[in-house]
This record gives sequence, C-alpha cells and structure tokens, in this order.
Amino acid sequence: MNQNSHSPVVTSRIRLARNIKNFSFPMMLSEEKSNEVIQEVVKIFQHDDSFKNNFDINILKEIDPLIQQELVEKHLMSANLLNDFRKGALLISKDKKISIMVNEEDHIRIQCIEKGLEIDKAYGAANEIDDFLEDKLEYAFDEKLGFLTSCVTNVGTGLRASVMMHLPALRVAGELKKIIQTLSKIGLTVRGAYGEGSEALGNMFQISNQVTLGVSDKEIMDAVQNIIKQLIEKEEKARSFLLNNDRLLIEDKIYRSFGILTHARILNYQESMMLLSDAILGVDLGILTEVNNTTLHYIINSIQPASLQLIFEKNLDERERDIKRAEYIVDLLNT
Amino acid sequence: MICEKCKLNNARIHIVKILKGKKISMNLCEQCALLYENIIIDPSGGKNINNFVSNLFEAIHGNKTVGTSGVNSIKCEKCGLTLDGFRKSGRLGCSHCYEVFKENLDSVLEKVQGKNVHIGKIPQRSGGELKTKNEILCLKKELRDRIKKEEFEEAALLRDKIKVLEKSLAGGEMNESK
Repeated sequence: MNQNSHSPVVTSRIRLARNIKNFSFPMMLSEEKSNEVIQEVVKIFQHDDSFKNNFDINILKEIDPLIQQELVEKHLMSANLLNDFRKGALLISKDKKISIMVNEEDHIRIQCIEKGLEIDKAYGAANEIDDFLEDKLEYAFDEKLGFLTSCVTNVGTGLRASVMMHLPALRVAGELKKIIQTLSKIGLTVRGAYGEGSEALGNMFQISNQVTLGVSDKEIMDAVQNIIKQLIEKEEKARSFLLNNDRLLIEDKIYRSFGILTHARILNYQESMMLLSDAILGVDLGILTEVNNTTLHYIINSIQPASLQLIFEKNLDERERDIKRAEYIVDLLNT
Repeated sequence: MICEKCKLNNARIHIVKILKGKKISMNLCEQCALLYENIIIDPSGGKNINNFVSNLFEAIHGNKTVGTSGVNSIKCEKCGLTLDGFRKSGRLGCSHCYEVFKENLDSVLEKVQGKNVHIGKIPQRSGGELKTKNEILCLKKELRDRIKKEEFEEAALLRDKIKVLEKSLAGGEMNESK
C-alpha cells in the first residue's frame, strides 16, 4: 500500500503471554522439565497438517549463536529468550509474521507482526494460534486474575499491543518528552525499537499498553489504536511545520544524510540509523525520490552485527563491521 | 538531602505541587514518592521491568530480609520459590505462587495494574459461564459510557442485551442446583 508506506507507523505487533497448567513457569523449571514443555507445544504443531507445513521449529540450543542473535535483530524473538537458551524453542511461520517463543519468561509467547497500522489483523492471527493451542493444552488461567504470567505486569489478558513508529519531526520539535509523560498517565509506555531498555535509535519508538488486567483485549487495542492515530496526526503536523518553516534547511539535512549513506566508507550502527531516519523522512516528504522506504527499512533490518556477519559470511570485529556496513548500504542505495 | 517523609533515605525526587494556588515543594526518596504521591519511578529507566516490580515490592512491603521467621519463610510448596526469591526477581514461579503470595501481591498488582479483575479473553475450556459473566461486565462498562455521552438509544439496546445475558446466567445456575 503506497499510502501506508509514507505513514509514521512502521509495524504493529501483538504479543500474547500464556502458561501451561501444572508446569512451573520457565524461571523455576529444570532443563529437563523445560524440554517437556517444548515437546508439549511442538507436538501440537507437528500433529496438525496446516500448521506443521507453515511453521519452522527451532530448538534454540541446536542453533548457531550468530543465527540466534540474528533472530533477535529481526524481532522474531526477544534477547530474553537467549539468557536461558538451553531451555527455549522458537517456532516461526514461513512468512515470518508469526513467531512463538517457548520458555521465555512464560511458557508460550505468541507474537504477530504486521506492516503498518494493523493491530486488529495482528491480533486476529495471534488469537488464532492461541485458540489452536488452547484446544490441545490447558492454560494456567484464574477466573479472577485471567491468564497467569510469571511477571505481574502481564497478568490478565497477557496481551501487549505495540506499534512501532518513526517520529523524527516530533523529536526535533522537542515534544516527545511531554508525550511520553502523558502516555504513561493513561497506561501506555514508549520504548525503543527493541523493547525494554532499548534506545530509540533512528527515531523509532515502540508505543504499547502497560496495563493488562481489568481491561478487555479490545479495549487495550482500541486505546493503543486511538493514541497512535493522534500521534500520526501530531507527527504529520510537526512535519508540515518543519517544511513551512524552512524547507531548504530540511532538504539540506536530508540530502546531506543521503549523501553520507551513499558515499561513506565507515558507518557505525548508531550513525547509520540516524541517517536512515533522515532518509525515510525525506521519502515521506517527497523530497527524496532516489530511493523508497521498502529499501530503507530493509537496510535497517540488515545492518546489525549478527545480520551483517551472516550476509558477508564471516566473523567481523567492530571496525570491520562498520566498514562492511558502509559497503552494504552504499551498494544497496546505488543500485 | 534526606527524604522529608521517612527521614532515612536520600531524597532523589523533587516534587512541586500547586494546591489551591499555593506552591508546595517536597524532597522525597523514590519509595516515599511512590507511597505518598503515587509517583512511580522506574529506577532502571525501563531497562528491567522485573527490577521495577521488585523495587515496587520493596517500597510497599519494606525490606525485611533479616530473620528466618515471618514473611521470608513463606515458600511456594509447588515450585519452591520463596518470598525473598520473588522479591529479588520480581517474577512468580508458578500458578500456585499467586495464592501463596496473595497477601503481598495484591498491593503490587494494584500499583502495576490499577485493577484486579480480569475482563479480557476467556479460554474456551473454562466454560461458557465465565465468558458470559465477562461479557456482561464489558457491556455494563459500555452502558455507562453511552449514558455519559447521552446516547440513550444505544444504551437501551445494551441494557436489554445485559438483561438477556443475566437471565441466561441465572437460568444456568438454577438448572445446576436442581
């Protein structure tokens, strides 16, 4: 969708946290017991033809550490799952939209990511997996507290609805701090692209619900959706303000960044993200026509350490990575 | 600077309030800011949500780590997690922990979630009744909203819907008791 690709919304993500009755939560499970949990989940997928053919099953300890890291970089699993990788498994749908983490903080974490503002669609897909699993497994569920989770911040619906947004103009306008404070008052949080504790590199922010208990799944999603719509409006207003205020200055900044991206020889991750953010803004504003957002987002997803090393098929130290990163970006943007 | 409330910890938070046109300023520690002013400060800056829960826990229940009797001897017999273990990790070990640590959990839940009753999705296996109850709760909430917005026609429809559901619940219970 053309119209969508110029929106500040990058992706929508739904995560459902579930635990299986009669098993301790992963934190208190031995490796042996963890394997039983993995088997319980894997078995269900293997016995269903449509799911069996649509999902790749990865036992984490059998995967190369570099590939594990790449899966984190590509948002298919959390870094948290790696902390105890001997206990975990990861199921990924062929189209890479759905992933199921086994034995992260909870036994089952279903995640679905969709491009653009598609919270309902992502929920629909995650919910389908949830129903499918629940048909075969008994979940830890309490009539009063809902789905029981290891951390009380997820109990109830176990639902986290997150939207990744690119908000360069709001950041420049210095309005983000105020927005973050306001959002926290209504039960929403703003984080960097990789969740808790991650930095908002490249002006990418993840907005999600904080509260999971005492609200219905739909209410959570509606609340997030409403706020996102307001944020889109705010960001767009800030963008037109920037343009009307000094168009030449904005064009200059965007073209300078694009110039570096297309000609640099050494680029670290942080700088790359900053430059790519300018380029995306340039495309959104119709200033930069030499490239499209699909390519820019593709680059964003490929230039972190593990992904880069897998692309070039060798181990690279930091300096080598910065050189290869520049080489890769220059190459992709000049073709 | 020492916290004005507990007079124990360092005051790291400066609060300025305007009350009835008067400016009041206070210097509090993180725990007192949470307890008295309901200001939650995630000390890790969002880095670690479990630490956050664990700190919250300490702020509410105090740091009673000495002695073998009392709170710290509480242990979940199912998974083996102790209250102390819960405080440190901020995580529960199994479903049963929710009952074992109930007393300590309620206040944490209240701070983190604000509410304590689930009204979201109900798994199919837990039976239809819970689902109906849940639906009624949701509809009642919507009903209040509609009335607030003076959308009475929609409100009337909702009220009828609630009545039907409540009837079906009562009917179900009567059948069970027969």
